[in-house]
Amino acid sequence: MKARTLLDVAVERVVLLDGGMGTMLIDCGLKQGQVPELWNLDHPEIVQEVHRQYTSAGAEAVLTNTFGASSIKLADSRLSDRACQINYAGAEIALKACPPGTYVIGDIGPTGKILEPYGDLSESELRDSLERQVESLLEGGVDALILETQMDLREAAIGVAVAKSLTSLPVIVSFTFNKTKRGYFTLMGNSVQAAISGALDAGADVVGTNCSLDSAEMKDLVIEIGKHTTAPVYAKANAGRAELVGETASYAQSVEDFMKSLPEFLEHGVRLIGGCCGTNPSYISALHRLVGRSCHRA
Amino acid sequence: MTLDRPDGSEGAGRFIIEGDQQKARQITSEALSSGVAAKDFLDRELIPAMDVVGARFKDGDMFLPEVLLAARAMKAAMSVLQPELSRVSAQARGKVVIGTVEGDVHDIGKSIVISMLEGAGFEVIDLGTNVTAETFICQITEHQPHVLCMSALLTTTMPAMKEVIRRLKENQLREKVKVIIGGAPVTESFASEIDSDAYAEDAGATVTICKRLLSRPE
Repeated sequence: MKARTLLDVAVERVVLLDGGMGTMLIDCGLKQGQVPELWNLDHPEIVQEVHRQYTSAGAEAVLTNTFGASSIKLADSRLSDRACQINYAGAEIALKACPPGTYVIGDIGPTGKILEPYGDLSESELRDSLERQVESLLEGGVDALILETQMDLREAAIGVAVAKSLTSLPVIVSFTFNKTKRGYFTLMGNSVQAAISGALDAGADVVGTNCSLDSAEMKDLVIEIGKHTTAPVYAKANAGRAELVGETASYAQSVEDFMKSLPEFLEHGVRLIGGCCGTNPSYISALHRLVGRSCHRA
Repeated sequence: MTLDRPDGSEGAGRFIIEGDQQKARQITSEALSSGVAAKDFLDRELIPAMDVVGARFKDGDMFLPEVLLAARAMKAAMSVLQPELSRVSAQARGKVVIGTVEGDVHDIGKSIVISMLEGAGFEVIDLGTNVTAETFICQITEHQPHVLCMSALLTTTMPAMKEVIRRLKENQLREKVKVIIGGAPVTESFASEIDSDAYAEDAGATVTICKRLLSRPE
C-alpha cells in the first residue's frame, strides 16, 4: 500500500486519469460479442499494453479492466464462475503495467440489472456479487475502488457500503447522467443533488460523473456537481457520440474539440480527470499538457 | 391532459400512469361488468395512458422505475381485457419478435419496448439479449411474426443488425417481415442504409411504427 492514498493526493492537486479501455481493446482486435474483461485471462499482454500507453501519456492513475466483471454481469456470458479470477488478474495486470507510484483503481461497473421492486435483482444478490468483485480486486492489490457509470443511487450506495466494509482505501462513485430539459438525471431518475449527496452519505470519498455525455455537454454537469460537494470531483467525458463508419465505431469529438471544455472542468474543482469511451492516449497526452504536471507522483 | 372520464369519474388511465396495479385491474373489471366493450376501453383509456407514459419518459418527466410500474399496471389491466378481446377478435394486433443483437447484452431499453408493445395489444416474443443471426432466422421461421424489432446499445454491435437483414434476404424472409431497429447509437440513416423498414427513436415510437407498418387498407 502507498504511503499517501489517491484521496490524499486528490485533495491537494489534480490527478490525471487514463482514457477509455473498451474502445482501445476494440482497436486491438476485440471482436463483437467477446467479453473485454476476459482478455485479462486470454490476452493480458494487450490489456497491459493499453495501461502502459496511458501511463506513458501521463496518466497517474488507471482503472483496471474489470468494468463488466461482476458475477451478475458475467452471467450474461456464462462466465460468473470466473469472476474472481478475472478481477484478480485485472488488478495484477494494471500493477504490472504501471510505473511505481501510479495508482491502480479497481473498476466496478453497473450490473445492468434493476433492483427490486422495479426489476428482479435482490439487494442480497447484488451485495454478494459486489463482495466477490471487491475482494478479488483488493487481493489483486488495487489502491482504490471506483463504482463507475452508475445509473441507480441505490446500487451505488450498496456498492459503497460493501467496499467500505472490506477496506479503508478510497472509494469513488461516478454516475452517468442524461441531459433532459429539466436538467441532468440518471436513468433511474436520481437528480444530481440526490445522487451526489446520496453517494457521500453512503461513505464515498470522491464523487463525479462519466460516460453518456461529451465534454461540452458534461461541463455544466460538472459545475453542478461541484455545488453539492466539497469532496474531490471525478470526471471522465466521452469523446462525443459513437458513429458507425463502415463496420467500425468512430467517435465524433477530436482531441481539439474534446479539450475545449476541459479547462473549465479544472476551474470548477475537478480533481480526478480523464476520458471515457472513445478517448485514447492522445487525448490523455493533451490533458497532460493542460494539467501541466509531468510525472509528479506520490 | 385529463385521464378521467367526461362525467368526472376516475378512469383507469390515471392508475396506469401511477403504476397502481390493483386499481387499474379493479377499474377495468368494473368497466367490463358495466357493459363497456373491451376494445373501446383499451383504445379510450389504456392506450392513451401508455402514450402519456411514453411521452413523459421521453421528456424526462418520468423515469425508468415509474415506467416499469406503469407497464405492470397496464399488464394487470390487460389481463382482465384479454379474454374478452380474444373472444371478439381471434388475433392480437400483430405478432412481434424482438431481441438485442449478438454481442450486446443490454436489455433495459428492450424491456420498455416490450411493455409498451404488449400494452398496445401486440403479441411479443422476446428472444432475449445476445441473439445470434441464426437464432433470429430460426425464430422468425417458426413464429412468422409481422414485425421484427432489433435493439443495440453498443455502436460496435450495430453491424450485427445488418447481418440479420442479410440473412433474412438469403432465406427469402425479408419480404415476409417488417424490420424496425432501435437503441441509443442507432440512427435513421443507418436504418435505411441496412434496408430496415424503420428506425424507432424510443419505445413510444416503436408502437406507433408497428401500428403504421401493419395498417392495412380496410
